Amino acid sequence: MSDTNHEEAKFRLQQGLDYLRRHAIDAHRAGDGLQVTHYCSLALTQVEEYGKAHPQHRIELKNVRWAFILGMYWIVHDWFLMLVQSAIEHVNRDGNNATDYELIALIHNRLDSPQSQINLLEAAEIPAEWWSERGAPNGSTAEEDIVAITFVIELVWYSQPGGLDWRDLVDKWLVNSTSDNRIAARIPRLLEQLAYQAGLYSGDAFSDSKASTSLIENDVQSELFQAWLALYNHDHDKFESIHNELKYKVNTDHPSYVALFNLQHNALIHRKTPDSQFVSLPKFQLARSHQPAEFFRHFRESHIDSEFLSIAQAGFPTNSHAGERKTCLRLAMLVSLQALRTWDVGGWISGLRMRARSHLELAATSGDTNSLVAGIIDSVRGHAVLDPKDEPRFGICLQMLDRLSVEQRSKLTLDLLRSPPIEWRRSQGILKYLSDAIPSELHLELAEWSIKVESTNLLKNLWTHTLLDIWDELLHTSPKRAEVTMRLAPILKKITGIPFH
Amino acid sequence: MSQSRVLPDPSSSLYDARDFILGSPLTRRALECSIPRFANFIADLLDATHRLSQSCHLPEFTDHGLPHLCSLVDRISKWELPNASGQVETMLTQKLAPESAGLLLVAVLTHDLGMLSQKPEDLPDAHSTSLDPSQWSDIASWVRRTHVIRLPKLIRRIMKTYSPDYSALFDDHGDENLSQAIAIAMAHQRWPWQWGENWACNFRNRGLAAIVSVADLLDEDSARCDTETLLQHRGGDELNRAHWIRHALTTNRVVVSRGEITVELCRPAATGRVFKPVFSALRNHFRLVLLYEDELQHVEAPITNVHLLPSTGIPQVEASGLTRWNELDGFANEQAFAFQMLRTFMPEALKDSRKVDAVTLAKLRSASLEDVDLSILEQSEMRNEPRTVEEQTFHAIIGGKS
Repeated sequence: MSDTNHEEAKFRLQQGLDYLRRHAIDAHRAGDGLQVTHYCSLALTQVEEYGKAHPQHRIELKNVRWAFILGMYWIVHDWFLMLVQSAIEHVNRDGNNATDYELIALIHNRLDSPQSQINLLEAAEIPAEWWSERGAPNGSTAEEDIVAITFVIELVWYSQPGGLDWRDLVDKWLVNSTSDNRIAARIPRLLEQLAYQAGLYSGDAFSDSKASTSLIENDVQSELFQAWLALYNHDHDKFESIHNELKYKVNTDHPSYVALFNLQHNALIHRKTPDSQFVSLPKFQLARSHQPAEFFRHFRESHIDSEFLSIAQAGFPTNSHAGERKTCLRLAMLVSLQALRTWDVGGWISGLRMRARSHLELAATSGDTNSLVAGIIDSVRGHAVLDPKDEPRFGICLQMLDRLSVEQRSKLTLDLLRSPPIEWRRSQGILKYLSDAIPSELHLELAEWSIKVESTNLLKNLWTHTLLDIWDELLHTSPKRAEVTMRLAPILKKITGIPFH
Repeated sequence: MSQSRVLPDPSSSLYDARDFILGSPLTRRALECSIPRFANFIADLLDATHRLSQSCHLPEFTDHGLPHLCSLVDRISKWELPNASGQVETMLTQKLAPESAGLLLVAVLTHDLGMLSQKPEDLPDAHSTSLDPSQWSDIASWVRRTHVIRLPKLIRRIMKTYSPDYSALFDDHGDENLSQAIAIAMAHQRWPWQWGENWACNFRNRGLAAIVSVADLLDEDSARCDTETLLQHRGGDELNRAHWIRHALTTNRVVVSRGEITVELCRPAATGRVFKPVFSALRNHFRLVLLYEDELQHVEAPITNVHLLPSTGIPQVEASGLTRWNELDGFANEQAFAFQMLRTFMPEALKDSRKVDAVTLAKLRSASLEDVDLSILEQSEMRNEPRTVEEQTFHAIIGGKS
């Protein structure tokens, strides 16, 4: 083929890619992930085919970066990662494509190994040329660049919300940017949001409800989040007051309808509803099917279930199904991140529950104690109902608690003691299983927690009158028995005064 | 001064159209018929059409309201019949019996009424579930697909709101009954050899149905829509845009003169060889009127010649206002443009043996339709599996090869 023909074919391919990009961006903004992945896989397949046929005339990566970035952002099946890996070998990655390649590689590696930590030494600085070309005050801002930057930050944050890695990464990136860069200008708000949302995992968010209102632009989302905070803190009067306003603002076509449904259904155990669940559940499914972003999240959740089922059907094997396990963890992460972008705490919890199931399965199968600790905390934060009678693999996990190192037991205990009121009963359940495995240095802190819990008026909402049975065995074996008893005495007296207790 | 100003009457276009249609030779002939309350019926039908097109017209469609109907009535009214020596003998409307003219007028005025209404309740009682709107991804495609089959119920429903007496016009089973007119209108969705046994010997109805279909097929010219404004301001997809552009490629108003038609074509700027199949298809579109040759003989209104300028190849004349087509989404280059245009034609105009049955294909051959190079469509539409529209467009842009 002559050079003119090469140029003509390449020019046409670029025209076709530009056409697909416009449709992919529209679909991305509409939340229609299935359309986005259709366009992206079509583009990458063609780019790879062209690159193989004309290795000297490859398409520039920066001209097709949207297909790599948006495709991974909306990933469901792991074959897309394989497509990314093979297609990127057939584009020109040199010269001013290097930063795009870095960003794509960071996203790919994180999605490919959802459990691993990102080594920030591998993350290069973003050069000044990139910043001046993308998001310059007088230039245009490409959607895929905003997605790439924010998505990487979210992914690093997710691996350790309470850590500093994601902040270090941003510092490294922003060194060469200018304050008026339109992409860089978006980052501080994202950092603030993620810093606050980190509290959803540590429990800190629930003591500082004011911070959230300044971060959420949308009134309905803000009220939904305030209602969640009230629910977490068992402030039922406040919950009812916010909920009464919300329910008139959100109809079934509203973008936040699914989030409202999640809130209402998570609150069901604390409050009665006049609505029949036989009506509300099909209505929820119908409304969800009409909203592309919500339908897509449901699609991902269903795929997690089907992948987990295939592991279960194979008998939870140790030497196979690594791909399915990765997919479960990857999609649980993406479900949670998608929910957090709209402050849908119910969606976040749902993602945590799915991650908990995968972590605990991995712990029970491989005996990995890190997965055990992560799975237990995820279960508590994800409001999972864990009962060894119903789930034998959870029984295996509980038997493993004795195998935890002292550091792991300390960390687990402290994380459980930091739980917000809505998680107290689940925390107490795990603490009871831990019992004498709780490091003795934490017995006094555990006593303080018991006092705090018992002295509030919240237990009436927890289906039980006391959580003190943690101490049934522990009190006898604790080296700090006398001190603990002294601390607990007032509430023990109060409890024993309750008739029939 | 400003207090004395009167708001413009939103029905003024109705008044103009009603005046135009009622004053046309076709209507004048039709008004001599014996169908009871006929004049009132026509006036009310025009009012109903106006109201539907004002409130229910889907933005994706070209006009199917009063301007389109005026155009058809005008074309039929100006339809000149040839005599043996090829000179003007008489007008079609003068040849028609008043009752036939009445049925023809109602058929013309109602043939696209279903395009202006979107109610599934007008589907026939025992319709296939495939015609249910729930089975269609977009309402416009459903409306187009079902606009004919919904007509009998729709016309009765809408005219009953003007007078309950109109029901009787449809309920009798006599030969001059308006249900005949509805059947004639509905025939425009099928070819004559598909009209069924009932009409095998009903030569009058066959002839009238052919007139409706031919007049409709010829309503292709640039006056049908304001292509430039539609492209610049109206939403819609690539297919809609291609339809709007197609109208701009026929420069003259096509009428039947002494039994002949003349069509002058033009091409968009910066198009050439690649566009040849588009003009083959467009010429074939006009040649399709020849498929009604036998039926038109029944009303002594044959079309003896179709003059296409140019008769082969690509027109030399450039269309005005079609210079920046490559800025339209999905029209990035000439190949993609040609692909989008070819999608607008019915399979018969494309002489597409993949989609047309053997009987129809034989008819197309006998009508001397030219072969259309379908390679652009074929390489874009599919390799093995069906492709989405965006996927097809992408392959059309890249030229089917990388």
